[in-house]
Amino acid sequence: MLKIDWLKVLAFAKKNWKEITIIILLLTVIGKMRYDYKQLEATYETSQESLQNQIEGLQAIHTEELEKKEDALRVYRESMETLEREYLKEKENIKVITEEKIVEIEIEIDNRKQFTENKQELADKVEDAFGFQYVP
Amino acid sequence: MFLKVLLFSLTAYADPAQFAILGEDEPAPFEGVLFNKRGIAELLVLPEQYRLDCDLEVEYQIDRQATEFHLERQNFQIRIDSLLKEYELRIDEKDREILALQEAIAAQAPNNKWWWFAGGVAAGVVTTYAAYRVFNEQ
Repeated sequence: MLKIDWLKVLAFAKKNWKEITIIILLLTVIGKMRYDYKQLEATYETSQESLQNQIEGLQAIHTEELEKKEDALRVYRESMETLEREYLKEKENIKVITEEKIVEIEIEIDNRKQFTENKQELADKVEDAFGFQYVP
Repeated sequence: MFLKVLLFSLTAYADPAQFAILGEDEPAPFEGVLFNKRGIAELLVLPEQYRLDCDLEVEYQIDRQATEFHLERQNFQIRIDSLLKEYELRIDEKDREILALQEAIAAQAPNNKWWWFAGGVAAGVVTTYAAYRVFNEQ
């Protein structure tokens, strides 16, 4: 067991009190500096963590945005293809309707003898359609 | 489908649309163009055909424009949503950062600032006295 002679310590402190004071103050200043440095480090780490979170968040948002835009584009392309298909189908339908109508007119010309006996009927149709004047 | 095939098979055997150009008294009251049955039928159908084609084209173009507009609108909506999310994220992170900094400041300058002030004054007095004693000794 180490025995401390407090009287000697006191005498030593009394003799070297200036040096002891300087050492204590120096240690206090160093301690305070280290504490401040730790605080600064903690602040820096907080900022860094915040920035890291922002980067990760922004990347996630950006990925989600791209996925949504891809989906929207896919739906757009599908809609356009459907429209194109419907358009071509309807165009074909118009062709059939027109052909039916032509055949109908031809049959009517034959049945109603519009080239020989009932010329006026055909003439009326031409007049209605184009506004031409019929000269018998 | 069957009707379509039947119709086109019928028309395949029919005379094609034909026309001839007649001169005066050839025999015609004036010089002009003569159409056969198919020709006049096709001419008579033409206005209706144009109307149907036009309606279809207008509808198709409007639908295309609407689809394009929808896509454009959707893209804007997606962008707005993303920007709002980015904004919320930034605000949240800044709030968290501010909170952490406030905590750091609070730890640096705690509530018992009066004790610190008193300690500072006492330390000043002691240091001044000690210096006075030191200089007096010399």
